[in-house]
Amino acid sequence: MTDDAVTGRLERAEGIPDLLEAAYGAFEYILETARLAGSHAGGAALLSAFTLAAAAAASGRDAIAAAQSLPPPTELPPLEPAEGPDGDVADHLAALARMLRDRLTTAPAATASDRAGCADGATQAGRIHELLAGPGL
Amino acid sequence: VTDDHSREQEPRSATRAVFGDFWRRATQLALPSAQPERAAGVQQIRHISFALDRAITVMRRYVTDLEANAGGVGRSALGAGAIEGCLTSLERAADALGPEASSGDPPPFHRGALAERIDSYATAMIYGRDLLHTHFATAPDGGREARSDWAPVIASVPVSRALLAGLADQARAIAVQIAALPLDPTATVDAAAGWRRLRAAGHHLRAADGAVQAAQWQAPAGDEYRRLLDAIPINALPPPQLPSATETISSLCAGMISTAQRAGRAQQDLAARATWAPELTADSMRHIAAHCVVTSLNAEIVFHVLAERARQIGSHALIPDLLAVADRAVEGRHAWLAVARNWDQMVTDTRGYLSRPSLEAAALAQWTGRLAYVGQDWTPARRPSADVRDPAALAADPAAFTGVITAMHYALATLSRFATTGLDTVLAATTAGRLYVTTRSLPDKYDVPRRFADAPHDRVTRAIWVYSRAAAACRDTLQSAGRVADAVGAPSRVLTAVEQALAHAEGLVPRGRVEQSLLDLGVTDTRMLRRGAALDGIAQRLLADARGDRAAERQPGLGELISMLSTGSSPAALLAATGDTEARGPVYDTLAGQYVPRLADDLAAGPAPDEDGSPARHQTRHEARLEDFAELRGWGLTVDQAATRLGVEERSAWRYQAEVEPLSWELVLFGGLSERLAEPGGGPGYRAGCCLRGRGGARRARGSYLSAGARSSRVVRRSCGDPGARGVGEGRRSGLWCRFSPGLGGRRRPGLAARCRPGLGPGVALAGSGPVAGGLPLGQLATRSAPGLAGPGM
Repeated sequence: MTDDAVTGRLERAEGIPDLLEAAYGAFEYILETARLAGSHAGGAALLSAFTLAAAAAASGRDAIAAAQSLPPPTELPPLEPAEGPDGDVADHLAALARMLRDRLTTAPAATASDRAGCADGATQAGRIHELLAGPGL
Repeated sequence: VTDDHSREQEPRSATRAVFGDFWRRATQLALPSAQPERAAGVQQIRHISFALDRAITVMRRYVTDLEANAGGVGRSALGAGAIEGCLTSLERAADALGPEASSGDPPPFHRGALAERIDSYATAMIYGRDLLHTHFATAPDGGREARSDWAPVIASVPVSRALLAGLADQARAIAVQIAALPLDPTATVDAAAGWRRLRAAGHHLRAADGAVQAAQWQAPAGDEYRRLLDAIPINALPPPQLPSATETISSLCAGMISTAQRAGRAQQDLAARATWAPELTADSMRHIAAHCVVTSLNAEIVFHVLAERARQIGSHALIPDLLAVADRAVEGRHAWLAVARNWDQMVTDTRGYLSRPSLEAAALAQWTGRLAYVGQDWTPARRPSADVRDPAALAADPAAFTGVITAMHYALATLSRFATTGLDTVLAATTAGRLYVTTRSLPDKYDVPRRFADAPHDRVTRAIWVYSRAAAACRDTLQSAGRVADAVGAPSRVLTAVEQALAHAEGLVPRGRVEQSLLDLGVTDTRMLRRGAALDGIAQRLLADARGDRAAERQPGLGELISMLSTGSSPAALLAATGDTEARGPVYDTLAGQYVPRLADDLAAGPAPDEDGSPARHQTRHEARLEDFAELRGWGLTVDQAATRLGVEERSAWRYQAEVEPLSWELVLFGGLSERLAEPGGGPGYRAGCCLRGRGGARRARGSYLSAGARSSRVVRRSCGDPGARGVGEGRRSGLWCRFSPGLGGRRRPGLAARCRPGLGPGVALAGSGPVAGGLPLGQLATRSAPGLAGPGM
């Protein structure tokens, strides 16, 4: 899955199961991309930010995985982490994380498990956004 | 009571009270004053007797503490008869003063008089002892229980020796003054009797000094351990704090040190509760690993800046060492990044909490970042610019230079602590079955109808591996930083002395001549001391041979042999130590084969029985290989030959079966009993793993042991077999027990043994390395797994 696919899936998600599935995929995508970017980050500041963002993404993914309504895994195309200049990658991930945070914050979760998963996931997404958002984002 | 003037210049956080504050003051008070003492009249004699009785009482308590800390073997390590002689003399001194010395209310002492000084001495000593006792608590069984990292340092032989030597010096100084005290010619008969009692007490104080000095002559207390004794802090840490916008370099260093100390302590506390602590979460472990990456990065930057500063001020000799630390920090960063990646796919049974160590790790990253970068609001988040500090601004003068090195030394020590305790934590969590992975992250071949699955062996293995690598990398970085701290005389040199004292603490056994001679020469390098100990062992066996004393001959344990190899002993020495020709072949084969670090592959091949007893697919494959391997070994093939037939994965795998009725057991050693983890030259680090399980039921024990250095040794005990079996202590009554024992890094020997009750069946599984009672060296084990095998005491 590409950045666009992940973002589009998150935008189109309707209902808690869909949203959880999309959020899970988005966190996985952020994790993979942040790890890849962190491995060759040119600047010390971005290396730290990418590393911490990846940790937050893994925790966010686990939070979503613990939600009751997350459907069983389905066959999906493999993730294609974004590549490019570090700043651009960070911008993309920050934007995705912000969208993720907003969607999870407003998710109409019915069960306690889903609510907890969405709330924890939103917290982690917010953390990712804080870490990676550059000036103006 | 304290004497802050004589204290070594230290940053702010180190201003918490240290033992030296009281100890140095007491030593000062024990010395004669410049003013000659007046002839003693009746009142003065009463005052001195009262004060001296107090002083002797507190001295006795110190010696009693030493006795309790040292234990039987430690007492002899402190010097033959030193403790006993000192204690006896002090008791006689108290007896000589008589009960009337302590009767009545404290008299009003004249300022500066001998009585006043001895009384103040006693007070300072009481405070100092109270400080030492903050590191211990009373255990449920009435014994002493360590409450801090400093507790083993306090109890270590070198530090105990330094304390005892200091006590003896003080006793002698007081005794000299008592002996020189003139009696007032107009004194009454009672006063003269009191004066004689004082002199008798002084005589016994000299005897106490003599008892200790005799032992000190054989093994003097090293200056570094006297300094270490002085540096023991009170066991209390300041509250957590984050840097404010107005911090100076000095306050940043101070904050970093206190954060580092708090972080290390918190992590150790959590590691001790890793089998059940709810705050041990994957989130926390990720958080720690990620922030350790950041701290390593900051350390790299700071040491580069310091190297530049050293160039500016003309300290060219320091530059290579500073750059070496920076280079090691890069390796540490990569190792921590691998740890962080490992937690990408691993979860724990609890989630969502951030543990205290993880918050402290974040704080440490923040403090180090503030030191490395200019910005007053620096955070690890993305920033428009992150300017590194100017070298002259970071270390404006020599004191600031030393202060920064000290702070970074503490920070790196904490990173090392995070790695070693992280390793312990993973092992404990594994043993407790707390590690899982998301089912989605498993390969397609796994068909697990649940959201989370037990962490497969390869994941656990990888976790152990990456933490081991991180521990090794951090240890290298720390050693490099220690060299720099030594070079500039930083107060953090105490960290190196702590390591050395702890290494000694694990070696509370009587020393041989070579090792003792090395100590007498002032050698503190633990690797060299271990080589000395190995040579002593060989000499002992040679003497046993010469005497024809076969009973005294002892086969070295596998850990001992590996220790010899790792410390540079030649294969010839190894073979000589192995002794028995029949046994040494397999032992040497095994050692030679295992010396190449292949932890991941070997452990990946190990069994990992599920909690419900159903073996996973890879276990079945592994067991089949093991059976083949055992069969080849049964044909008489060497380990290497068998491994060649089956592939390298089985090179270090062993299997022994116990045909014990009514239950049938098998003990599987996977990955070999031990294996070096670190890169050649990178220091010792070994692991052993085993699995013990019942074929017919769910009763079993499993676990693993890993030591990545002297300080991470651990004991895991499980018993299984008869329902009534309750542990190793009841091994004779239990059906079977399995012991994982620690200590490859120290003198305690590795061991792994399984026993069965005699008469239960035709066979017994027995494996051992080292002096486990009833165990046999691996070589014998490898060739004698036949029914009827039973070690001594079975």
